[in-house]
Amino acid sequence: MNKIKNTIKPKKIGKGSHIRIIAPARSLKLLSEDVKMGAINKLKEYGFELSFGKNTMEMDEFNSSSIDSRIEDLHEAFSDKDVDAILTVIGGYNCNQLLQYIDYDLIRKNPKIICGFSDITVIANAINAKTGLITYIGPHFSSWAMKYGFEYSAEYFVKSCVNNNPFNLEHSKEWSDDPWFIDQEKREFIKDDKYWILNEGNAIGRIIGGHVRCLNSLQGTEYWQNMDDSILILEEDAEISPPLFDRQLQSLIHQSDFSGVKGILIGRFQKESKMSEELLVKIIKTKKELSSVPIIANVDFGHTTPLATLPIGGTLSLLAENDNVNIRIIEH
Amino acid sequence: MEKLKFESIESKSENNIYDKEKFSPEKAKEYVDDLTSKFKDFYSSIGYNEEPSVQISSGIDPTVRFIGSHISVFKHYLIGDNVINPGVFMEQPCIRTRNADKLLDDSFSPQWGSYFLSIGTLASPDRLKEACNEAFDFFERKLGIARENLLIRINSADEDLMETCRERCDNDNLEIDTQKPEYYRHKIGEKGITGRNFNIALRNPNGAGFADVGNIIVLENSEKKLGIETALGTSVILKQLYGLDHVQDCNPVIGLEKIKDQMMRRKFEDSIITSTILLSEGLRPFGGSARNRLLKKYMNSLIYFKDKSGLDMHELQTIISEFEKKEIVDSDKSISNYMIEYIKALEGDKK
Repeated sequence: MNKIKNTIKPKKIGKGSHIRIIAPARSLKLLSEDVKMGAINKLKEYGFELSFGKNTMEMDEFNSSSIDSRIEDLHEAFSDKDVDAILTVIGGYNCNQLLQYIDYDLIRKNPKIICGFSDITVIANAINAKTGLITYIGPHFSSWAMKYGFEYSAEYFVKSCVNNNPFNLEHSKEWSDDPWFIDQEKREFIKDDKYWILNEGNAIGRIIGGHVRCLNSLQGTEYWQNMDDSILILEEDAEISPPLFDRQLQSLIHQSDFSGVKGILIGRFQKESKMSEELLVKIIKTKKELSSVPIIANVDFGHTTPLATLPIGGTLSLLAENDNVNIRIIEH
Repeated sequence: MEKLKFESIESKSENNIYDKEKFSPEKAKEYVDDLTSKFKDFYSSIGYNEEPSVQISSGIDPTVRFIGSHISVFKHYLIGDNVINPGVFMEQPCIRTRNADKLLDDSFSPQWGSYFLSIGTLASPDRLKEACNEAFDFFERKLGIARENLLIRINSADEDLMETCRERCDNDNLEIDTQKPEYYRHKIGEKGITGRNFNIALRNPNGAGFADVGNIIVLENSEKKLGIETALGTSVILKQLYGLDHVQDCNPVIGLEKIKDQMMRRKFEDSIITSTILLSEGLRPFGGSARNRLLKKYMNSLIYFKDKSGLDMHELQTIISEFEKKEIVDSDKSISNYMIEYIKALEGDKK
């Protein structure tokens, strides 16, 4: 089992910081020009300078690019002293092809923020497990193109990646599950939503996890996170269904060190998943290993918008009792 | 945040045989840096190479949880039987956790703090006489300590060490066979490697008695000598030179002077110092490893003494923040923030 590495905190960024965009999953070429320019302009509004990995526009029949190209861009982004942080273009399916080719020593010696979600879960957790560097599950480069409903996402990106202070993760006032990248003007925002407290309790621990099926692809490998005293964050996309989520969760519970999980946060499910609070409660209740683990679901991270930025390898405390929820990111 | 100042405690300098100025806790780090710098200058000037220090929790020596001596960093030279000539030197932050289990015992009075800075050398095995003379020169010439204020505590069975010391020291400087046999013997956690040592003591600043500040150790296996180690503690040397009440005065935690119970104050200091140092290295008070659990133990002690002393969370944060600013090089000044968050969480665990 991997030993937990000492935490390495990347330097925070601010106005004037240089962000390198890389495409370790799918290609930049997949984005429409509108989305690409929208993201560039929004990030520039925040004062960031941008550059792109030289292979980001390469695209193969899987909408991705060669392992060599993706590794080259990843390594260059970490080794380039002028680069302060790294954003991934978008998610996909094949980040785990890269794991055995990543130079983890290079990353350990050049720690910097790397942020993305979905398939980036694989890289974020592997880097943290191998080096101790805090990585970030949060908006991709492409996410910044969103015209409406991105304020919460940007606010929490700043809280995690710009500021140093601990912060509370509040529930967003509204959310949406629109294909915004197809029609930015046709958006439906849903209000009056709240956290789902599935199990009460309090916990503190090291954040691990992200997209469930991506996380599960690391099981049994040297890139798997030690679960001792961890807070597991889990999210899924539209491909998931309640029974499939159940299977993935059960698979995590079968990890030999699952008893080290002190608390669980579950990201808001997409509508297409057909997951409901009632079904999720039923799934949780079937698993005796979870009976004393505080669990809060319908949290703002994952594939609906907005999405908070959460530090993998950072520290989180949670309290859930009597309809009262406090989620606090202590170290990030 | 208000800046804390020492209120009253300044160590006395009356009748200091070393003619040292009054020790100012505000300048404690400068005294430590000055001594370390003199040590490094001295060994560098006689051809030794500097070995870089490592993190206390680096895990480079699997025989210990935390680096407790520079020998952990030097071990590879001994194991490979390739100690370079004339030798290597280094400064190494260390933590020894012998206090950890007893901090909550109200009757326990710690003589040592857990955290200290060790300075030491490893010379090639054929240089016993030279290595000893270099150590004496460091004290006498570099630090200006008169020979009459140095004492060698030595075992007559170690004839090679006796011969070397006799060449340099008068009978007045030698204290032979006064200690238990194990005092003169060393282990470094490596099978087949043992050490024979004599200790160097400095006269107490009031002139009466001596206290150990380091030792010289012949490290060897059953066949031959492997290297000559000189091991010195900065805080014990400064304690002797300046007449400090306690070795922890070399890393003072400003703001705790109002605690009248000195025993509690020292243990509270130890908890703050050790927790801050380990957190600054990226260790966290959770996780299943023994190192994580030890940090948690120090942080639980910190909570115990906070409650016992009546400090509130804001006062504690101010104290930790000042210590962090003063002691942690390259700190982003955030350790005190998340230490308070961890304390709150650990307090919540107990409820």
